[in-house]
Amino acid sequence: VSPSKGRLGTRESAGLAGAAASPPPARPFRVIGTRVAKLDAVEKVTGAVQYLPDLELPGMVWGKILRTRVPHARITRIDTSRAEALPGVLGVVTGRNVAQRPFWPSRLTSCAASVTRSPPWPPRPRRSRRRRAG
Amino acid sequence: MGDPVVVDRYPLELTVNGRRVRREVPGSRTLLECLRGDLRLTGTNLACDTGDCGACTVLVDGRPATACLILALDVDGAEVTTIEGLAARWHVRSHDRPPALHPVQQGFLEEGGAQCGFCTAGMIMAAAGLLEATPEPSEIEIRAGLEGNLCRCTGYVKIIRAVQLAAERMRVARREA
Repeated sequence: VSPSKGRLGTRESAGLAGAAASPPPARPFRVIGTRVAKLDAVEKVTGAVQYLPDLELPGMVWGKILRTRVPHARITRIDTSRAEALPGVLGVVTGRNVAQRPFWPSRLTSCAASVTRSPPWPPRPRRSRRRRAG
Repeated sequence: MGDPVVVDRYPLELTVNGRRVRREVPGSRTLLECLRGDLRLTGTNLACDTGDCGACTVLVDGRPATACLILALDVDGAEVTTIEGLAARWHVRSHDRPPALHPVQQGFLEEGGAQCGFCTAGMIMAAAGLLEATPEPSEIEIRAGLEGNLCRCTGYVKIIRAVQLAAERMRVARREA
């Protein structure tokens, strides 16, 4: 073990190297080789740390998502009147009252809807057998 | 149609972290919702909400329990300890003045048992409950005691070391007391 290697290793290995080649004594490090508690460890072990669901801000409101009970269904109509009539409900957001900004798959299908025949989504399996055989 | 939904509420009385609390709660309210919502004790975390992860572990009458699976009214009258009240619990048992941290909390702090921290409160409560029932656990007993608590950061080794350190310190403290 060379002295330079000993200095890079732990103090124990530096000690071993010292016995053989007596390198300069290992300088005590302030951080390397010492136990350093995380800056926020106290908050975390006391439960004081705040995660997003713990936050409550002035004027904050709560939302609830209603998901369909039918997979792969087509929405024909959503009657929100009873939900809107509930006390404390500020509003019900559906596809009707948000701006429509189609992105990737839905954009493709909305473009395809006017042309139709073969919708580009979902993609059909590629026919590459012929090419591979050749 | 359009009528407000009426939810029946029932009187609930708990001792939470040594403080007597009374609330009127719906029958469906879980102990976790009660702690986090009604009492604003957000140190106990909600993760899976199905009792799989252990993040919501608290002590109910001294024993670890997943608060998300317990209806508050089912433990009416119980003594509940959360991470916020754990240090004081250790104080009651062996010191004159309350320490800032329970030995298990101190162990997690020193051994790096907390990383993102989301499992930490539940993990610490499970460990504290374990050490009350089994003051000098073997490593296998520690692993068994924490098997209901999932941690995705630490790989558990530091957590087990933290509990071992805490067990050792508590043993010394008991001997000195």
